[in-house]
Amino acid sequence: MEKTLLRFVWVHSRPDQILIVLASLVSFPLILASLYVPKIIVNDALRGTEFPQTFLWLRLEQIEFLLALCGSLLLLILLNNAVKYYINIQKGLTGERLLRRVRFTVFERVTRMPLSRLRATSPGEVVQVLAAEVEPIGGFSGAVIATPVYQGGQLLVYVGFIIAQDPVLGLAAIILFPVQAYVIPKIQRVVIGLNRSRIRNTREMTSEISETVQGAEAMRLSGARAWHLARMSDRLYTNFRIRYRIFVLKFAIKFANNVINHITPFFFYGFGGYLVIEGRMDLGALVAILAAYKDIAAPWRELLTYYQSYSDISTRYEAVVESYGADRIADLPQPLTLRGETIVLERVTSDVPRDSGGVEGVSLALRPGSRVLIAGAEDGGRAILMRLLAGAVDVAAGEVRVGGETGRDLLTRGSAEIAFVSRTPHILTGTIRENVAYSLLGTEPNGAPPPDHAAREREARITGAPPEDPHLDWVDYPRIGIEGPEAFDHRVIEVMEAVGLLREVFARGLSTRIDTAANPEIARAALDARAVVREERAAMGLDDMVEHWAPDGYLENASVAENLFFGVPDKPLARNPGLAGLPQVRRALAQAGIEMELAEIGLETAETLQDLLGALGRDTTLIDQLGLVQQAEMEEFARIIPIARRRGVRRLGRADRERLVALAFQLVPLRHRLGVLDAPERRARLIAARARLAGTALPAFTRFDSDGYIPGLPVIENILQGRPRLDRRDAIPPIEARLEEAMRAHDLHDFVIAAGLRTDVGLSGSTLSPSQKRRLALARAITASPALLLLDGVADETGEAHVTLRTAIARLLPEATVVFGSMNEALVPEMDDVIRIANGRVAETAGSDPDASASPGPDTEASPDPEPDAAPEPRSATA
Amino acid sequence: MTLSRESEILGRSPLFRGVDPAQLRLLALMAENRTFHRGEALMVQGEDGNAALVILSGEAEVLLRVDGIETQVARIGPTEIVGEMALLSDARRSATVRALETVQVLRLDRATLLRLLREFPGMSLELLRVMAGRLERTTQELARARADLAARTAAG
Repeated sequence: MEKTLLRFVWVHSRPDQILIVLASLVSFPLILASLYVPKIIVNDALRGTEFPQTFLWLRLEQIEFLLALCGSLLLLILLNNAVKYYINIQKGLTGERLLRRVRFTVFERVTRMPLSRLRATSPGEVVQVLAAEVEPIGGFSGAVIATPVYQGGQLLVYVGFIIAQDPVLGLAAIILFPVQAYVIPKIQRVVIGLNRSRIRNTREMTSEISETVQGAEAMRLSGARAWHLARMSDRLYTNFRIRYRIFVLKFAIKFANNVINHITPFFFYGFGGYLVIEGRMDLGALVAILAAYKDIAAPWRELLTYYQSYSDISTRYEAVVESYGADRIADLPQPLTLRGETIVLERVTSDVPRDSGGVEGVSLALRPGSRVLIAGAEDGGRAILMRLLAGAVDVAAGEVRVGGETGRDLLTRGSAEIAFVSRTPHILTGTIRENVAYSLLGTEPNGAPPPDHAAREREARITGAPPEDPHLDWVDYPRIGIEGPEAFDHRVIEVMEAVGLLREVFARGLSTRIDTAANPEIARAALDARAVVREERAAMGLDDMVEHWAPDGYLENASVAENLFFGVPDKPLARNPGLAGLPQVRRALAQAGIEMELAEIGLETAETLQDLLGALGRDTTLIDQLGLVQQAEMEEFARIIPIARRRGVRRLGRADRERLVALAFQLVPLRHRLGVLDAPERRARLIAARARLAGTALPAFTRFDSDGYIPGLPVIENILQGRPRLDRRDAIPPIEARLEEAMRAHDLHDFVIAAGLRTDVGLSGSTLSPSQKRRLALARAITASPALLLLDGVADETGEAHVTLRTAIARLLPEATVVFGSMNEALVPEMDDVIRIANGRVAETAGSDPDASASPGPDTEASPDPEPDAAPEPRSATA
Repeated sequence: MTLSRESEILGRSPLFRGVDPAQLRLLALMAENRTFHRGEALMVQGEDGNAALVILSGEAEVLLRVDGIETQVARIGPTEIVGEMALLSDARRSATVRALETVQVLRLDRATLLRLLREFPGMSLELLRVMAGRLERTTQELARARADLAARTAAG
């Protein structure tokens, strides 16, 4: 990054700045001309006597001459403002581009920081710098060259014009400028200093407040309240003093400016008037001088402000450069291949100290294709050693050897061929497929960007940011020898099956809604599956688990709206509450004679909810979780309920009744169990209304008895022609598993899995269990086909599930070196080498292979530690 | 089954005995119904659990599998709660529960319960009291079992 703001601006926006300066130069003659025209109007057109006058090439009488001059003035004003507009836009544009560049540069630098430094950087600080601190740079830097040129030039034009009219008056106009130029920045500097101490004071006050609140218990118990109050009072006094002085000074500056600006016209009227009366100056010139002087104030003020902001903003810029500037941030490391090489650590010490879980003087060798157990407690050095092997913790002392190379950063350089899974892996907020493909992202996307990407791309190039479209497919398929997306899908499915996530993916695929217009083949496949399931329904044991769309029965797992209209809108957004707002729905409900009953159901629901919450005696957002109403809506219902009780739902306002109907629409008997839908007569009336409503024309709506795909329903309900019963969701095997088995038998399951891979996992994988997160991270690791796979506390249990995982890893990655970090001694027989770590040192190295002598033997430096828990406990065979 | 009936049964279960009736109704509303038929498992030993089940009707057996052999260790019925450890920790299911007839349960998942506990600290204390009581009992049983084992080893 450039060291100073000026340099940064000049290097990255030279053409733009030159353009702005040129435009400023163009505007000066326009300004000058617009000053002269009024003078000519007064002297020649109003008070002139010799007509006709020559204007350009025309000869004009007095009135025409006046009009022509006024027209010229208008034109000049328009031109001048057009140039101003252009300059402002150009300044803004340049500034925004520079801001984007600063932000991107800082972000890019943060992503390149050494991990050790990144760990010490608080995310809040980066956010603060990127979001707030650099923001004013954008507004200012576009004008950093233009402002002095434009405003200074304007000032010169005005002053020059006045001097040309009368040198004495001209001098009078500017005689006080030096005073202002000297005094005001001086005061301003004091204000800036005060502002700094105000910020400091506020920060101190914030921490004082939070400390007091956190320690409130101790404060009360110790009876120290009075002292805390005095401290706070003292801080507030300081705060008050600073703020008081700031505004006193601010108004002092304002006062000085105002007085000086208004004193000058005193000279003009007095001395100028005298000159006019004496006949030594014409009136037109005086009028023009007064007009010009009025305009001087603005550029002069701008120049003063510019001077003030320049120091502020270039300080900000330099602060950013200091933290994220060039020299201290390393270049990206040169990649290194680990495949087929033995990785040797020789007396390696981590840059995390031993008493913080780091390792010291560790020597070990990982032979290609071997399985190694690093046994020990997580915080006894194992976790850090695993991370060090992954290249995520730096080597502070000792050396790493791979092939012919020696160095401390070899593992960092090999990161493309290393995969690491910890117990709490990082899961992206994105789809399952994106998560699996995460470690295979290339440096540029496949395929061409969409046509509307061109503007984005041009802008990116101007500001030094990457122009690639992040929405394209970034997976580097050739890296793992795969042709393209479809082949990759197959590979992912294979891996997901191996890590035991396929069923979850399948279940997710079943519960998604599919855009049938974009994916007609999925709809077709779902209809094929529907036919199969219809045949085998009984054999699959589904009869009791699914509520089928029975045209003349009340659907317990469906909402009232679904029961009435026997179908769903194609877009989920148009669902129940949205439906209630449609005019044709309202008309149809009234015609079917069910509207009042629905309002009544809504009213009873609202009352029950109110009772339930009211009994708790306070506001609670718990109700939101029910998905029926939001806490905020309850207030509306609290208003409606008494009115409805007094006057009956029939006489409610239309909007209120609609609200009740919308609430009723959402009720699902098995889910909400409020009892309002329990009466058989009520259900019978709703079913009767269903028949009467059958003819209602609704926009983008599909009925349950449609033969085709129903876009508003998830895949599973399309296949089942019904809805899984809410109360049978925990049946074993679950309905999804039964479907998978049946569909797999007919080879109809792939489309569901493909859809499942494209479902979102929520914010950082919030919809996944911890074990599923680990399995997903493991799938990511395996898919990348690394040379070295590091598993810390993952797939290391003795149970059948984890044995299967280990077998799968061996099958899918036959040539990889696999390192398990674990406390589980039962893994020892499966391993080629075992390295025991205790208290940050190697306690024992054991290999089943005699050739392992190439690796360093038991570490002579590792003295037996005095702590009793250091040594691994021998497990008795009877345990 | 109506909400009031459900909350009444909840209120008779040991875990929620001291909880205010209004809060119980809310708890019941937040919970979900589940039905299991004879022979179906309510939960399986060793699997991840994230919900507790309160039995509303029907009878189930608790089975413990040791070395591949399942043994019935208890029979449970209405108002009894199973899988409550899952409410507070990530623990796996410690036993299998199988329905002996059609069993209806209320399913309380961890997220919901935690929210309720946050909103009603009184409920947390009640839960803590019950859990502490159980721990106490378990500790005593463990001590007895150890003494037993020691006596038998000495004798054998």
